[in-house]
Amino acid sequence: MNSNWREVLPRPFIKKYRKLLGDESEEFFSSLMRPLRRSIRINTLKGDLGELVEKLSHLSLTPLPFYRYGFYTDFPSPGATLEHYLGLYYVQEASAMLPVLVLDPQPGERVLDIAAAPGGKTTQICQHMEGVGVVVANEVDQGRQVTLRGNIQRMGCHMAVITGMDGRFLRPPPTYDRVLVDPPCSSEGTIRRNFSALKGWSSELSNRMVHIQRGLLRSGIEVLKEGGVLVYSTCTFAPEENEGVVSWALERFNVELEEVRIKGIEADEGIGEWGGVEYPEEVRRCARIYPHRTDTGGFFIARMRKRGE
Amino acid sequence: MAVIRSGKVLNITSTDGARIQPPGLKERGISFIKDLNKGGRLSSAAIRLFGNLATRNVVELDRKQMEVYLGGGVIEDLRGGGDYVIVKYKGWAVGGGILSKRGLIPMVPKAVKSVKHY
Ligand SMILES: C[S@@+](CC[C@H](N)C(=O)[O-])C[C@H]1O[C@@H](n2cnc3c(N)ncnc32)[C@H](O)[C@@H]1O
Repeated sequence: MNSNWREVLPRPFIKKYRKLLGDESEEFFSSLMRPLRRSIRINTLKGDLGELVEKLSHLSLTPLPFYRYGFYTDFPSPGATLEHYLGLYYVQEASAMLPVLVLDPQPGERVLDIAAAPGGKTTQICQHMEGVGVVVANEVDQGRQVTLRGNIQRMGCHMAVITGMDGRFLRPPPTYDRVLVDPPCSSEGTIRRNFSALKGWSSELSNRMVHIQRGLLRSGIEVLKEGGVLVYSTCTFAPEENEGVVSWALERFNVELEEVRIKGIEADEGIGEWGGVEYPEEVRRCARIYPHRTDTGGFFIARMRKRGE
Repeated sequence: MAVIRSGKVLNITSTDGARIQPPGLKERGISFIKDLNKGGRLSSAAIRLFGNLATRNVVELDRKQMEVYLGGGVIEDLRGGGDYVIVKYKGWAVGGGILSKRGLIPMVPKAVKSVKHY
């Protein structure tokens, strides 16, 4: 998969991101045509990190610069090994490991993952909490609940509790110390993994996604305790689904944005304006992960704190 | 850690996992003991989590036997009187099995079929 972006990317997509990225856009488009490096997250719920790294040496691992549990692997099919079945690691795209790093869940807390399947981030949260506390993994789609359950069992996440609600309808009492909102999105950041993200792409797709994203974010804020932390993340570049949704929440709810900077990875700040709409200045505190800078997939990450009354 | 019963299954979860009452609850924690109505057996998830500690009722497979086990076949050169055993390979607890008169009958989830490198 090393194609010419002019032949692969839809014209409106090219037009949109030329406008957003200007001089850098060609570099950005070319980066989308390069295959992603495979990466895994080692599961310290199943053993000591050093020992597991040693036991997985046949996967030829190279550490990620920004996350001690994350590694690139040159092994062609890391999802088909015995060690994978045993839950010693999770095959996870490098940039997809970032939202939980930013959420920074702590042992003993109550954490909600409002849109959880297949469970990459749920199992990562459990790992960070070292098995102490509780992680409520909510997923509305019954088929995807099966995959979520399989991954929770495989990774040994005994502190995870599965629920099957439509996440848009969760209401107080505020129960959670931290909430992750990783909603469905237009998935533009996964094009490097799979061109199929382009199949359903249209200029209107983002506008359709925004409704569900707002609904999930609103619920997440409602069930978050005062002083609690919420991370909103998507694997898309579309400002409507990112800064647009975050600005919508800032206008309506008692939350403030906190700076997202991650050591070891070059993130861009959130953008200030899109499509004639000015976003609040604080939206710059969000992080945009672009593949042409980081050689990963694409992500957007916002970290909010709920203010007291 | 807390143990909770739901029908024929015992699950293990954290103390707070047993306490929390979220709407739309489906399952708490991971399965620990299955088939309680038939005397109970350690689940595959529990074997993968704790099985490495087991020293009794353990069968260690060689590569050829492992191939049969992963494919869901009966390993005829290992026989017994119907005991449930923990199956290990290269020191890893990989799943369960019944040592029957016919041979070792594998008791593993379908997901084991994804294993191609061992
Ligand atoms: C981007 S994926 C989440 C990926 C997941 N966080 C991970 O890291 O593995 C979004 C998920 O949200 C689920 N979803 C969509 N609408 C939902 C809703 N209204 N309530 C709860 N989950 C929903 C989808 O089925 C999908 O599994």
